[in-house]
Amino acid sequence: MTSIRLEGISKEFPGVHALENVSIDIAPGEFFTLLGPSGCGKTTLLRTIAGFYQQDRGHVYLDGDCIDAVSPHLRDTGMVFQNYAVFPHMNVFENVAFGLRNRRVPREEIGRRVAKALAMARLSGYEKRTPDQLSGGQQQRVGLARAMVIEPRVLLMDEPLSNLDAKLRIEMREEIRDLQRELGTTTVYVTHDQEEALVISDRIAVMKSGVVQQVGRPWEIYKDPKNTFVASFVGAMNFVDGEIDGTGRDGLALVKVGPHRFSAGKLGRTSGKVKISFRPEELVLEVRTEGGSAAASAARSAGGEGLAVGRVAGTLIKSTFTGPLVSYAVDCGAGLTLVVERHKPAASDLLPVGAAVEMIVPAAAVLAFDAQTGARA
Amino acid sequence: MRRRERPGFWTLVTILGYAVVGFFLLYPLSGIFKFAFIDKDSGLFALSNFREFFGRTYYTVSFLNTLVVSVGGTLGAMLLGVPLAFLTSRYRIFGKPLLSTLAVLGLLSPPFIGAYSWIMLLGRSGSVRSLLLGLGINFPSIYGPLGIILVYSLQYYPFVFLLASGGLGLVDRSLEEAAENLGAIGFRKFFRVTLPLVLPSVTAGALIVFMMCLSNFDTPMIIGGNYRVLPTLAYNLFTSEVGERPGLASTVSIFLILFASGVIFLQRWVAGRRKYSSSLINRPQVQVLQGARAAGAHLVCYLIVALSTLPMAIVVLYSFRKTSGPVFKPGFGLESYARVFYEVQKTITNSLLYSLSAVVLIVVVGTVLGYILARRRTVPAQVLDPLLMIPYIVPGTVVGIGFIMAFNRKPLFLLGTGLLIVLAYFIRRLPYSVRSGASILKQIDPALEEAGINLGASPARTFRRVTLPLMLPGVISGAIMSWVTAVNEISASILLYVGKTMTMPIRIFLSVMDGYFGPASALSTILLLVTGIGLFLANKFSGTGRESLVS
Repeated sequence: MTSIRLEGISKEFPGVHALENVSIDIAPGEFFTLLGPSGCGKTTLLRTIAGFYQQDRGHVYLDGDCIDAVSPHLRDTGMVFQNYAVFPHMNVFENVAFGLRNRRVPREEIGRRVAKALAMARLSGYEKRTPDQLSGGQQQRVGLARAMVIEPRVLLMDEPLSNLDAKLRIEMREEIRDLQRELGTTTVYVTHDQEEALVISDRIAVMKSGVVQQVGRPWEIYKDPKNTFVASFVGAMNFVDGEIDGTGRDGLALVKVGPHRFSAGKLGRTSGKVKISFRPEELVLEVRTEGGSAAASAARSAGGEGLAVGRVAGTLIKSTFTGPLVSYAVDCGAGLTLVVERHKPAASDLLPVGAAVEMIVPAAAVLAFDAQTGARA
Repeated sequence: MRRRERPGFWTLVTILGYAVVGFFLLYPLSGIFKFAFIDKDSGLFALSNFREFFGRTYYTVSFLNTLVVSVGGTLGAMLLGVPLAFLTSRYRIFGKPLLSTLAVLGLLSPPFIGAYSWIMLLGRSGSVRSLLLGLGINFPSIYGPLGIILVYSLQYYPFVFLLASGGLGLVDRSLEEAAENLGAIGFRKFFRVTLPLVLPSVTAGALIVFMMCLSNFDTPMIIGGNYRVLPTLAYNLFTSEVGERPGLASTVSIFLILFASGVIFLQRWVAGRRKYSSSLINRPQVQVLQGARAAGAHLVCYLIVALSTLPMAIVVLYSFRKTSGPVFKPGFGLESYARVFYEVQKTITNSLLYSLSAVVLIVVVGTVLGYILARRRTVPAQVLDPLLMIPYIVPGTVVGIGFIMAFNRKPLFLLGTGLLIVLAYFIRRLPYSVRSGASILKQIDPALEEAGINLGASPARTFRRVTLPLMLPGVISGAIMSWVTAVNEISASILLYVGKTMTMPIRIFLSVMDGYFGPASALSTILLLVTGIGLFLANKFSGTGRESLVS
């Protein structure tokens, strides 16, 4: 098992900063994912580890040895490509054996190891097939077997599932995860699919414009995003512009958004503009009956200041049933539209457009970010 | 800042590219420029050669003549090639595979074979002309510009035909259906929709034809009579027994190069302004014609192909005619073959040896250089690209003159060797092979090579084990075409040969010039046979189609 250390890596292409001062430490045996939108530099970073790009600044270490000057064909990495890159002029066996032959492995051992790799990739019996006789999923399994069979120091996967259809993608990400656990090979995985990243990774680095935004375990990335970019890229999120308006009786910061006020946990400041966010599944939606709930009417009569803290009223403008959940879009007035989800919906939850509703925003669900920098407030 | 060194293999290949361009292209061409700009008496820099060129109508007329026959030949080729392509791709024509095969057959023989077989039919004592004279019809003689244009049109229209057919096959059916739906049918549909859409292909074909006509030397030599064009002028000035004029020959060469460059820029400009992107979803439909229209379409197609195949048929037929010296006698016999029997072995051996050696060079160098141009985005590779295109605009006659000037002294004394002929074949064909190599590579996913590298194969081993096998089918079809052009090459080799390095086309050409049509026909038949067998074998083992002829 091999550790990877990326130290201050920068890479510039004509007119673009592809990578800016990227430093990441990846532990031996870890499944590490580079996540970000296209053009964020994740593939560039992966190809820098493989040696296909030479960084302008910084160093790459494997197990503490600097490999900057090592030619790509001597780096002993196993790469899985987005478009499979299965050699079309070789059959499955020859494809998988290619790396072993380059390493002058004895013939009998090649046979043994290829058979084992094909068995792991569930491709036994396909040895004589040529790539054009294989489906996309099978071709990618060949790519996987071909990269694993050489027992590389690190496995590098460049969006290996993005060319497969949705169902196969879910199936194969499980397979890849299981295989990696079994082999224990340190793996760097590139994807733009946040759900895939959450499911498959030990740790994730979220990237944007060549800069690492946050490194953390999937739970941290999802629940405790360090800035608005990470919060919006991973999972769905409501964003609302507001202003800190003192502290509530419970000691939590209050954020004022138009006529509404939200409780936002403990913040490092007591005033200023912020952006608050909360995930659709964290909100609770209630149908407003005639006259409204007792608490609501009480709040209204008290100060004419809208509803109680963490409560927003609005009109349903869209209701989308997706199977496991219903997603509602609610117009709350003053340009504020929120998305709310209800899981395991009942028939009565298929509300008609125009219904008057009220939402509860729990303080624990609210994240606050600096309005200017986007960093956590 | 540390940088990994570039893989050494490709650096060496880049150096090789520059060495080839330097030694076999820039060096010979620099000789031509030197001679053109140096006064033959004083030995100093002067424009006296250019002054002499423009001062005498003898020279300037040949400039105009070249323009006339090149434009005429190109128009003629389009007139034959476009209708044939349109009719065979849009309507059902019986015997279409045979027609297209026969149509491209003409490309497999040197043009002067067409020239002298037309002489045998319509020359001063040509059989058809004699026949017509006997009937009291005085048919004008074939010698001169009309003869040249006739030969060029029939010889080179396959380029237009092949490229136009390719273009027509890529026009989505819905476009022509939309034209009909909007009320344009028949000729209107063809001229307003179909033809404009395939114009880039047609002009690309026309460009090839024009360049061929421009640089062709053997046809005007044989059928031109006193009608001089620039290539024959350069040849005569350079080899004249009445005192060679290398300076003037060089000047003429420079005009030829400028001429060719101008035409290329013109075509680029025309084609660049008319680039259409459209997606091919539905292949064009082949319609079935009825009655008179069907008969008319078939007549046009068969007439065009028959006219262009006629010269070859005549050559084969005449090779079996009885002869007495240079004169054909009634009846058939094998005298012509008997006459050439003794020398033919040496010239066949030479032709095969030189052309095959050249093909090996062309394929190896062209493929690796094509790789650099397609995959290596280094500055040296980018600069090499336009340099490698130079042979495309340098006519064979000019290559020949340049080679003689460059390699008639140390350090590279190669005059009179077969190697020099091989090198001339090689450099003339190199741009085509580099281009096709690069375009084949563009269709191969670079990730495959990265996979090879990533799995531990060195750059050289990756090229050998991954890239090359994938390129091979394309490379082979390119090699076939290179071989066909090499085995039929004459305009450079006619200047470079000596007795012992005689090749088939040169032998045929000399026989024709001496008026020995019988032996020339016999030799031409053998050359056609050799080319045909070679193509057949290559086709059988590689399964490549006739499309390779223009790639």
